[in-house]
Amino acid sequence: MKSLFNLNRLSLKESLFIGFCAVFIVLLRAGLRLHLGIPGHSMLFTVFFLMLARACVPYRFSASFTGLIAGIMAVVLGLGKGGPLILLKFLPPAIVIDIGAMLIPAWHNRYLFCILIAALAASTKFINTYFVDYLIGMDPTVNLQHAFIGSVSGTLFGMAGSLFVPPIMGKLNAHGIIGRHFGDNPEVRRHGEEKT
Amino acid sequence: MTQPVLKIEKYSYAYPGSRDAVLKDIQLVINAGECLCITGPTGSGKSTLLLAIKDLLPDGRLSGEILSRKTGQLRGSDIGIVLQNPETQLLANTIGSEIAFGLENRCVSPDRMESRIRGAVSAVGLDFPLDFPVLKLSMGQKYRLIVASILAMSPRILLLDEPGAQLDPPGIQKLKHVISDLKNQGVAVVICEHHPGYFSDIIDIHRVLAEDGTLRPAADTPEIQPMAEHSPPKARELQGNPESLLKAVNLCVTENESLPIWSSANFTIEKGRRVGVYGDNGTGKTTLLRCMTGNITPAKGTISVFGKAPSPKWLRHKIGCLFQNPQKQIFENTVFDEIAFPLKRMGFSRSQAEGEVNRLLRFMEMEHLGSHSPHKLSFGQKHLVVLASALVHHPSLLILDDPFAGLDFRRRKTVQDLLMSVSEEKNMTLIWTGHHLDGLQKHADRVLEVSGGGIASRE
Repeated sequence: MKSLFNLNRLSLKESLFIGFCAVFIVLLRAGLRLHLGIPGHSMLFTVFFLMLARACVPYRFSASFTGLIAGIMAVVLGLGKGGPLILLKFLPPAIVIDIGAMLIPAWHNRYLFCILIAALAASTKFINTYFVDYLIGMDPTVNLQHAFIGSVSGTLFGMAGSLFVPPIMGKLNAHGIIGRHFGDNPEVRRHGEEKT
Repeated sequence: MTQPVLKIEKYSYAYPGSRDAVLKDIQLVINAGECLCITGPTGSGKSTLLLAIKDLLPDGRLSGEILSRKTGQLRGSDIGIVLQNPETQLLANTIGSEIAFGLENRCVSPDRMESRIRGAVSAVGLDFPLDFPVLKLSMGQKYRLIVASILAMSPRILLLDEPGAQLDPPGIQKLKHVISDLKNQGVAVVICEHHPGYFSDIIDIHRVLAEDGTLRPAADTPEIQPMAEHSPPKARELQGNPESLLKAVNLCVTENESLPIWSSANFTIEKGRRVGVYGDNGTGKTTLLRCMTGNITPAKGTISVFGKAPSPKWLRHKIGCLFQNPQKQIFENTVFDEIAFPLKRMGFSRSQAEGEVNRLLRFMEMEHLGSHSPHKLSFGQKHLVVLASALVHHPSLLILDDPFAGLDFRRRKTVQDLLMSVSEEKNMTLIWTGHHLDGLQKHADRVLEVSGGGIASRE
C-alpha cells in the first residue's frame, strides 16, 4: 500500500528545490525587515515561494512541506516572538495552496486562478492573528478588528505575490527546466526502468 | 566475426509532454571498428538518437531497448559524445583542465594524465598551451577541444554531432585521421552530419533518419564533396552610385592588448553589397563581426558603420544579427514571440507583426512550430528562428555568423534564396562568415579572407 505522503516520488532535485523555497521564505523575512508599518507585507514572498514550490514540484504536498520547513526554520532561528506558533504563519497558507492546486489543474498558467488561490491562502492570516491575540488576552472586538485588517492587507500582498508565478512558470517551461509528467502519466517510463 | 558493440532494438522515444515520437522503431547494430553516418533533415531527431545512445534523454515515453547498455556490455563512460554546440559541454577554464576533467573522474594517476592530454590535443590539431583559457577559443576550436577531451577518455563508441558544421577543412582532415586510427583500434564511431561527403572515405554504413523518426538505409553512398572550391566572387552592378555603409581603415584588433588577432585591415562595403568572410577556425571571423557591431573596440585604426563609430545603441533597429551559437539570442517563450520581438520593440502590435512573422515561418517551413518553445528546438531550427528574427524588421545591414550551421541541404537552399531575395528587394547589405566555401559564396560580391593575421579582400 502506498503511504499517504509517498516520498519516493520526490526526486533529489525536487526535494532540494522545496528546501530552497523554504530557505528563501525565511531569508527574505529575516533579511528584508522592512518597517513599512503595513501589516501582512511578508505575505508577498511567502505566498510567492509557496506557490512556486507547488507549481514546480508536481507533488501534492510540496507547498505544505515548504511551509513546514520554513516554519521549523523560523522557530529554530527565533524569528518573531511567537515561538512554535510561528508555524501557523506558514502552514495554513501552504495547505490551502496544496488543496487549491489539487482542485484546479494547470492553475499556475492562469493569473485568475493564481490570484484566487493566493487570496484564499493569504486570508488564513486571520486565523493565526486571531488565535495568537486571543492567547495573549486581547479584547475580542479589538482582536477581531486587528485580525481583519491584518488578513485583508496580507491577502492583497499575497495576491500581488501570486502574479509573479505565471510568467516565471512560462519561462521555466519554455526552457524545459520543468514539465516532467510526474506520477500522473503511466506511459512515462524513465530510462533504465523495466517495462511493467 | 566482429562483435557488435551497440545494438538497438525497436527503440522509440517521445519527449516529455509531447505526443509524437521523435524516434520510431529504431533498429541498429554497430560493430567494433565501424563508422556509421546518420543524415537527415534539420530537426529530424539525429541529436536525440545520439543522446539516447549515451542515455542522456529526459524521462519520456519510450519503448524498445538499447541492448548493449542494458546487458552491461557497455558502461556510460565507454561512450563518448561530442554535442553540436560545444559550449554546452565545457566545464573547466583552461584547455588542460578541461581534458583532465574526465580523466580525474576516472581516477587516472596524474603522471599518466599529461601524456594522454598532450596526445589528444595533438591529434585534433589544437596548437595551444595547456593553460590557455577556454573562453578565448573560437567555436570550432572549442569543438576540437571537446573531441580531444573525449579522445583522452579512450571511449569504445564515439558519437559526433555535426562535426562538419563546426570544423574548418584542416580540422575535418585531422578528425578523419583520428577516426581512421580509432577504427583500427576497434572503436565504433557514429557521426550525425548534414554533409556526409566530408567523411565519405571513412564511413562504413550510411543511414537516413527520416522526418517521421524512422531510420532507413541511405539510397546512395555519399559522394566526396570538395571542401575548398575557390571560385572568384562576381560583383554585381549596383544601381546608381552606392553609398559606403561600412568602412575600415588600418583596423587592428589585439588579444591581451599586445598580440594582434589581425591587423592592417582596409575595406569598404557599400550599401546593398553581399560580403562573405571566410577563414579557418580561430582566425578572427567572429571578432571582425563583433568589431563591426561595436562590441569590440579596435586597438588601432578606425571603423565606421552608417557613418559613425559603431556601438550597439547606434546600430539599434539598423542591423540584424545572427550569432554562431543561436542559443545565446533566444529568450522568448514561443517561436512566434521570438521572431516578432524586434517588431515589438519598434512599437508594432501583435496583429501588425503577425503577417510578416507568419510569412517567415512559412518560408522556413516552421509554421507548425509557432507556439513551441524555441529553447527546445534542434540547433538548426534555432538557427532558423534567430535568422527569421534578425530579418523580420528588414534591417539595412544583416550580419550572420555561420548561418548554415546545423542546416540540411534543402533548408540551406531555402535560407539562401530568402537572403538573396530580401537583399535584392530591400537593398539590404549582407555580411556572413563561414569556414567552408559554400553555396552562398557564389552570391558574394566580395570575399574577405581572414588568415595569417590579416584580412584580404577579393572582388
